[in-house]
Amino acid sequence: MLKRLFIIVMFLIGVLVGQNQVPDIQLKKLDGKSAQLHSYLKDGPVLINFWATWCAPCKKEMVYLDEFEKRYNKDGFSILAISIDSPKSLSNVRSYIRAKKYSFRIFIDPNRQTFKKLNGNLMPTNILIGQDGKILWRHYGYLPGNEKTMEAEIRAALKYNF
Amino acid sequence: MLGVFCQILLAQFNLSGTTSLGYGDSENDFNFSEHRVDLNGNWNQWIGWMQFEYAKPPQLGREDAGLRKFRLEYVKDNFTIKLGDIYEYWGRGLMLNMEDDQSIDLDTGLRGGLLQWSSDVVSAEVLGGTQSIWRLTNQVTGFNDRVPNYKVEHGMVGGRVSFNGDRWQGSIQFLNSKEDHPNPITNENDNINHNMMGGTLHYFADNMDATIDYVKKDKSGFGFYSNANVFLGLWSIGLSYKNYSFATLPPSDRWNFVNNTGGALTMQQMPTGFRTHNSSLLGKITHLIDFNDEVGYYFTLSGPVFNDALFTLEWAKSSRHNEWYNDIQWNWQSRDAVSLPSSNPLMNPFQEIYAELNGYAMGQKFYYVIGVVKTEDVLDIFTNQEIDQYQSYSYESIEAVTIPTHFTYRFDNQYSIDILFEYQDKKKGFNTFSNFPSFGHDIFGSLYLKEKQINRFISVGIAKSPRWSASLSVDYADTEERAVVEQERKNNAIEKALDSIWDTSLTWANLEVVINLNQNNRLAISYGSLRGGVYCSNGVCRYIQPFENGFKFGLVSTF
Repeated sequence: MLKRLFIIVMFLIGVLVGQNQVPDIQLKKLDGKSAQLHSYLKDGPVLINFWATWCAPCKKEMVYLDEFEKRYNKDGFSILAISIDSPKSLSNVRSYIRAKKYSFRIFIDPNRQTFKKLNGNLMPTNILIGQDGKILWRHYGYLPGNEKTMEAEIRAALKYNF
Repeated sequence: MLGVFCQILLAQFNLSGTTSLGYGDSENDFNFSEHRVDLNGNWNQWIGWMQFEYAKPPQLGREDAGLRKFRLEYVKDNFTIKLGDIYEYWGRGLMLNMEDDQSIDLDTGLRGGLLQWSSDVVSAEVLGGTQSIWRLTNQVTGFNDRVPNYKVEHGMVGGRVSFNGDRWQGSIQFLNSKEDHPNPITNENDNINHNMMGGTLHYFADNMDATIDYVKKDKSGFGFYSNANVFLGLWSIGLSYKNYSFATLPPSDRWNFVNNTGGALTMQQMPTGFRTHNSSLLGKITHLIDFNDEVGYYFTLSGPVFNDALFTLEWAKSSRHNEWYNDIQWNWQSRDAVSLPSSNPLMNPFQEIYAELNGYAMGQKFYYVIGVVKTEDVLDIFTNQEIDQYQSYSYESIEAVTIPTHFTYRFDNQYSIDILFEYQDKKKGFNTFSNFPSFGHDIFGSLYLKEKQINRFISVGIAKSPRWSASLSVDYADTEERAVVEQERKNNAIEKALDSIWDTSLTWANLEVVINLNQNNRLAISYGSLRGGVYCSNGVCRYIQPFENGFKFGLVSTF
């Protein structure tokens, strides 16, 4: 009973003090080099997309991510697509991206530590981060048509006029 | 004063997390109640994570209540310190690949500490701690499909030095593990010392990349993995080769990790060298990789063919290193070691050929995936006896052709329909061969009540973005293994409705509704039955019992 109560209290603390500020975590690129998440926020908002080569909804969604990257990159927006393929299946990540001609940046998170630090849960997970490092929008899963909501959120982050 | 202090503190402290609740209640007592809270916090250079769990019982695994995992990280300039539950991987995981895969209840994490120093060119890290790994086995008492019953403890210390060039990266690493291995015969713990040394080399260029990973374990164990991808325009050609040789165990003892020590450790989760499937029917016949003794290659070819459709062709082949035979006392002996995979059935060969076309059409309104897969796998060898020039052997095998397809059509008003259809023609059974005089035969005996099994998996869904989706899935087989058929099952309301169309005695139907309450809360409710069977994740498989005629409820919240 006490343990249940503890979980509830921790949940409430989280709700009360949660400020949705992402930490400056280290991301790993496909070539093995590292980069800090906050370095990509200098130019504008960032959409983090967690995906995997075995995730069908992720692949459905990626064609739209590529469109948004191309459309809004000149305004400072960028997409960081982080593959959570395990070291066991990592070899197919680059081939897939090359064949599809996707232009956004690719990172890898084979033991899902970045995924967990950013509260990823289901696949795909999308997290839109403002230039100040605050999470502006988050979405789990992909349903056809979600790209419209996503684009509206990106435009809002870029403070476009509708 | 305290309030001001708290406000200053909280202004710099960020806390976020997720909660996931899951309940299930079925007629066959596959009941579960799981609650999990993940809390992530960061304050200046500190990052913390705690995971609380109340699972009585969980879907898979042992009951738990309280703090399950925690970690505190400190990152400052070139230094990183981690304390608590650590999940690291080195190279491609031949020596170390820690993961917490709850879908198969596999947790290879380390509780201890890690210290890392890194510059642009060189980095060095040491780690140490203890590891408790629970596994499921029928070699000790208390076997239960859902609850692991055998625990092995490791005390580990390891280190790695990495070098980073412009295009090259390399690392050398070592690991020592002292294992407390419960011995069911003596009822005492065997203390086993494992030593591993290894190296990784990685090359990355515009038109190709290559990886070599090698580990040597104790006196004679080793693992080797290499992969090269070449990019010709938008096409890519990939070739991987694996050679894992940590223990040579006879067929009768191949999966007995209780009474055989010194082989590959559970923390060595190495590349599988075959495709990771997301198809329901293919997931049930995925090859179970033998990390102790397997050699194989994996060829991939992929590129755009027309209208941005992506074509993929993959060919994976593997086998054990040796042929196995019975000597005159019926003991297993091995011979004829190979370094390339063999098709000899007495070496447990596996082969999978996979072809797929996927892409968008009709102005990105229509998405399709069409595949065809041929799978051949020798699961078990029972006998192989030779007298003079005569031979007699028997083994169990699977041969299957699977056609997975997936179609989605998006309407303009945010509605969409989603159809998933998978067809599988599967033969599974015992092969016996003999050329002994007056006893010659080459017979296949099906494990099913029919010569082969036809499986169909159909899922029809409708969704309105971004709010909700509903899907009806029907898993159908025309025959089953005798043990499954003999278990009497009652049809649920959906299956009864389908009974007028076909015999639904081997049909499992399930209706699921998912509602995105808002961007932070996702609710899933389902009713029906889910077919049991082997479920595999990255080459590691386990049996999941069916979920018969019940409700499931799941809520995921982020804060």
